[in-house]
Amino acid sequence: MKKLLWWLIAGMKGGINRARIIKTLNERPYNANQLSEELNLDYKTVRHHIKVLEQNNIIKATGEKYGKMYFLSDNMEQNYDVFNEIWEQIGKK
Amino acid sequence: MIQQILEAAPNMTPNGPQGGNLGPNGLHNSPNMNFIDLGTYIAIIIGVANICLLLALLSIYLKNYREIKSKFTTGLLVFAALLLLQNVVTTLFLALNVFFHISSQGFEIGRPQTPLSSVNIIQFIALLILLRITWD
Repeated sequence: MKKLLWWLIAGMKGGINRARIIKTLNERPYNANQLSEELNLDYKTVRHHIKVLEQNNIIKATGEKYGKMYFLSDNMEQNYDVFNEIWEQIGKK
Repeated sequence: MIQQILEAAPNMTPNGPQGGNLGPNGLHNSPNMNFIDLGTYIAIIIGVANICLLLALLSIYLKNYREIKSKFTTGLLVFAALLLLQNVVTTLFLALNVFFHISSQGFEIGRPQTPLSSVNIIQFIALLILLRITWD
């Protein structure tokens, strides 16, 4: 899980935005549209990140198609301190 | 006696890619030469493709490194940079050899172009996979 998070955030294209989505979803569940407004990101970009994060079991969804709400998976919540470790490194000189 | 000469003759032709540009006669008389040249050209083309893939990877890793400074991002950056260096050096030597007839005697890459091109193709596939999962 630790390696996976590092790879998803620091090893791939667009990883920083992925980290911001995880950070935001930790506060409360959002749907894709709300996320794109909250983070000032393109809707399609958000959809793509959500797909990748969902495939890797980082986030989960409830509800139907357009109203789908996303929140962190149990596995992710248990490993949230690992995410914090990475988050602290972001933007640090 | 004649048989010996005939057997020895084809072995004299693969003297490296320099001979390949001698003209149509040289190519017709020695199918071996043609083959070796082809191997070298493939090695160069795939080498250039590898360099392009590595530049794409490097740009992503550099961007991530700028935002997250860690062992992980540094490692990826150095990894891609070293592979890029290796590909630039080998491709450059091969290209000098073929296009400017600068011999690379004493260098290992002076002769076995066919194995080199297959190594390059394998590396190309590997880099393609890495780029795909990095890009996703």
